[in-house]
Amino acid sequence: MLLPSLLIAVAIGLAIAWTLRPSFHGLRRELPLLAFLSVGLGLGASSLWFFLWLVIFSPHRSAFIISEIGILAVLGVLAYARTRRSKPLLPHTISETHGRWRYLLALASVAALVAAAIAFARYSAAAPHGSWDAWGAWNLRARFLYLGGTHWTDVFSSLGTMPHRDYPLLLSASVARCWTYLKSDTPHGPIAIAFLFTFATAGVLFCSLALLRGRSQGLIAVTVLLATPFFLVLGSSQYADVPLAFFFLSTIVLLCLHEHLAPEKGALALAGAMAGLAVWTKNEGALFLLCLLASHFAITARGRGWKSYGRELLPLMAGALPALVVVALFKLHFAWHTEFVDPRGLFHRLRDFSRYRVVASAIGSGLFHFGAWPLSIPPLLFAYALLLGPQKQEGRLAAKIGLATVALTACGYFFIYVTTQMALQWLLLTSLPRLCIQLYPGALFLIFLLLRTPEEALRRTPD
Amino acid sequence: MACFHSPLAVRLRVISAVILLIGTALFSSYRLLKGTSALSQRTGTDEVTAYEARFASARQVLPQYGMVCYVPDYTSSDVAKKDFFLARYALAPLVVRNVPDCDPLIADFPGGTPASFLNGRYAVLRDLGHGVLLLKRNGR
Repeated sequence: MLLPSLLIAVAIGLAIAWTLRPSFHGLRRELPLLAFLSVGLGLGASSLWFFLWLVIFSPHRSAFIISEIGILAVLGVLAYARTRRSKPLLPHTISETHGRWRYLLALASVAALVAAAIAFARYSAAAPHGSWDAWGAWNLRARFLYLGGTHWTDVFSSLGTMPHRDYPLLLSASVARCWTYLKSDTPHGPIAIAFLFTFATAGVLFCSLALLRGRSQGLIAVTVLLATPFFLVLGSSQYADVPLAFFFLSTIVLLCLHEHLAPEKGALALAGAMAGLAVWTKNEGALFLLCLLASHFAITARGRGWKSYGRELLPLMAGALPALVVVALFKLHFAWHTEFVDPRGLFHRLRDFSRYRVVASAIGSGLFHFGAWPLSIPPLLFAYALLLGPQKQEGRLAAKIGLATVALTACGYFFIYVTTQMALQWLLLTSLPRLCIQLYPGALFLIFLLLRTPEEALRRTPD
Repeated sequence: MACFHSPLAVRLRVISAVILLIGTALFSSYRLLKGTSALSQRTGTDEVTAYEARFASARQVLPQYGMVCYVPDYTSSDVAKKDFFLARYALAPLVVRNVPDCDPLIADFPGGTPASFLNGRYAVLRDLGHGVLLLKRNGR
């Protein structure tokens, strides 16, 4: 039942994505990206439904599977109706070369993919229950949701030492949902979910860049991502950071697709849904959503005018709304407090400039080493950007929104470190590389979106 | 400057940039494969599975839901902390309380119970093997 549980989730995601489908280029090019986006969308949507099911009908688990199949059938009908009234597809506008160049890049990315898959399998075989935070928090919470019966709310009990009681439930509910199908709390469930999120992130990165900037750009970006050891370590650890990275990346990708290829509202609603699911994944997702809304407001209202801003905000928020309603229910009824920022002593910590120095120095060195590469990739990426140069396309507002969102989120992380009441050095040591990985796929997408492709750089005439 | 922008220089620049980036990435992939090869040769069960096996008997005698107290103090060392977290995972969905103020208590000593531990404070209800004891507080 492992495969059906995952297939039903992905099919739900695909039906939602298909219903809201923006017309990019044509089915053949569009479908792989929609399929990769559907992995996170489907797992996220089904985890929302699983949580609501627990709240409403907690002991009746067997009927849950039937309810999901019913939801899939309804969404399937909606998606079919959408197919029937879809407009002619936009012509493909990206010119690509088909030389040796691209075959060599494809070969390199396949090598990186195979190495990544083998490494993932080895990590998962060595630690099938994941790393410390997986069995210490995420899968522990999943066990309460799955095995707890009517006592599932004990996961929020203040009598024991339940960890991170305020953390949202996307990952834990996805694992518990998978176990409900399997009727066993086997580690195969969380391993499969971790695998899907890790490799779907790579898939979204490749397919989106292939659509927007050509295949060679997508191949280079995905090779760099899959050759990042800590991305794979974290993915196979069954932590929530890689799922969060997936939702951050997908939100930015869909904003850019909306601007470049599909001016319909569907892409914006999907971007909003991804941002909403980021809030349902980890508390950092709420910060990301706030930064996204602030960046969208500042850049769209100025660049395209208030009317256009209002027209874009509406579908964006409508997409995020279902996840936000469930998060509000979760926070208000089960877990309202946060453990990272204690208002007591907040102003004292804000005025303590030695904390700024410590955090800035940790981030400065962390940026070079967070990926655990044998040779640091970020300075090479910088050199690569200088050598190839930026592309000169019009209409880069979405990329600006993405860049501003990533930068503001990083600033938010900085101030959370400065103001936290927890032991600063310990927190930096244990969390900084994970926070970098959360933003890394989105940042890679933006870098390769804005840079010239090798073909463009080679075609370039002297200025 | 003109030679920097000549078609040959541009070609050289672009190709070397791509080779440098992709080459470094592939080197990283190679090191990743090499670094994880030792993992595939590992034998035996992982620590979480091993801990679950240690607590299998405890799960049978304890109630399925509710709360159980835990000794020793998990803040005493990093090892004790890890043991407590592993026990908490193995016993879920029981809420495991790290203060010994309720009955029953689970005593978890993977290295064997220290002789001075009971010291009249606790009565052993059952020895569950592998260093796991079911206790109750004396005088209650």
